Amino acid sequence: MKILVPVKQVIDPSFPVRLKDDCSGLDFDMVRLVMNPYDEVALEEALQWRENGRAESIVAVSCGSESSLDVLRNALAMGADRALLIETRYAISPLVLARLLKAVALIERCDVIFIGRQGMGNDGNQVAPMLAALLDWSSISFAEAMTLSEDGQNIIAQVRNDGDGDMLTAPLPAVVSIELGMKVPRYATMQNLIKAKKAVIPKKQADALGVDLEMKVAVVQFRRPPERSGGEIVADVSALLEKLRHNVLE
Amino acid sequence: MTVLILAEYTEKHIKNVTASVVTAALQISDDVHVLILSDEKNAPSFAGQAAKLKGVSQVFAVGADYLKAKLTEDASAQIQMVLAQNTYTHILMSSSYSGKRVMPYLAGKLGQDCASDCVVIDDKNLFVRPIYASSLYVVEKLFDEPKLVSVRASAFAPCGSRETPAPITYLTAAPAVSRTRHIGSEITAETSGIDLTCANIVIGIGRGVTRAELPLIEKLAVKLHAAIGATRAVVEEGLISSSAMLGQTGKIIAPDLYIAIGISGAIQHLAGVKDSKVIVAINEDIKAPIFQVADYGIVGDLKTLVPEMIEAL
Repeated sequence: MKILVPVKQVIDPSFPVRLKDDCSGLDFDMVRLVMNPYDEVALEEALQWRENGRAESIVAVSCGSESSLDVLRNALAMGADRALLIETRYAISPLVLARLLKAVALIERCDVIFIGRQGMGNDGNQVAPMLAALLDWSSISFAEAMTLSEDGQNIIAQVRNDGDGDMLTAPLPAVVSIELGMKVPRYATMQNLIKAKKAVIPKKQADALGVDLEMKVAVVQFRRPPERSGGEIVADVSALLEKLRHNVLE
Repeated sequence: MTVLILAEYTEKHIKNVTASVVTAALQISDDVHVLILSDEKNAPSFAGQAAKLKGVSQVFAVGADYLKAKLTEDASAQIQMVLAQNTYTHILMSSSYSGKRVMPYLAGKLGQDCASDCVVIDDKNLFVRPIYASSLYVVEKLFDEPKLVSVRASAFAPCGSRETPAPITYLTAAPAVSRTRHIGSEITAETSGIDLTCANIVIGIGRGVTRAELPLIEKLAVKLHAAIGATRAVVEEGLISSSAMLGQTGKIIAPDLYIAIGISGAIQHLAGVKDSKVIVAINEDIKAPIFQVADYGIVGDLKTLVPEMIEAL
């Protein structure tokens, strides 16, 4: 089995994200870029599938500018067999990203795609179901735990849902979107990081994949959300309940 | 302009989130249709409830037993079938886990982008949604119709009900397409048994609450008829099931009252609770960021404060 793991470069979630003063875009000056934490977990799951003998190889792919080479190097250092950059000259929409990933999955003849449920920051939760729809592969989203059936043909997954979670089974090929809690990603060793630094990562231009790159959505503006202001500190429980009785409790 | 809404339901009732999506839809057009996809037996009941939602002008219902599993591929195929018969400018659904599955999948099938988790609708083309754990809003324009939008239900008040129901039309189900099978539900021990996303009062617990104090929290929840949620740290420690996780990566709630106990107030957690009407914070550390968003705060030890609350209620 060959696993494709798309890895996205995102702003380190521990950095506060600010809007430029004129609201024209995000202020990228004071942030650090890292691999999307959800994709890191997806890669860890893939590495464990290879270690358990369920998968033979893992390809990491990123769609973005040259700067995404950093997350691909990190993926190689964690243990991916190969890495591939699909170079885009501008920010692409989820649909275009899903189309590019579809092309890569078919060229690479992958059997399954493990991908983070959302890009940390954009928080869209879109690419995995879109990609499954485009490929007409099984769609499993928000997986918290998963395994391969004994015959090797089906993925069995515990997924998050409204209310309680569900157990699903779906035949390969499949696109599985992965929750943060599924695994704890390993650290790349210094030795592997140095090795990955020297690796030559193949690049392909997005427009060379024969994919429709037309976006159906555009960002027109950023805006500051309404702020919630702090209230008062009350002295004790009876003062608190007094306030609440006035407000929400009868 | 006509908007189609995919309804969501529990075992017996149309969910309140769908009533909120109707409110959002009415901001786009006054011609709002609701689609019910359910098992055969319950379809008339769900359709009847949807027909009484204020502002809905037409209900379509598809009853087929395989739809009970609520599988993404089947829901998408049914919507595509309805689209083949009627023209819609917009398709809306709440940004629940179901909505987060179905809308992008449908978008892929229709060759569309979609807008996720909208909290404000500027006009029929412009949709506002939070990014970076709700620290920013982005305004997105969707170009082609039907425009696919998932809506954060807590940002819109439910539409209310009316006496005269809207007309109901039953449609024949499209063939089942999903290769995915539902093989069971994970039964979670949500102590008070109240659904987090529907509860009027929610108690959230953070790192400041240890396993030993959990019975105390449960007692308070029973007293208040509240649901219990938690931060990621608490879920990772195994104190509570992951279905109770609140925040950017868990559930997003907007109850009348949110009581944050032992929660410092990280931005990722606040993203899930800051639309609550009233927030109460109980924390030992007066410098905890939760106090900056709480309407009322008490600084002190939960081991003494929670029993006092139980006693006084």
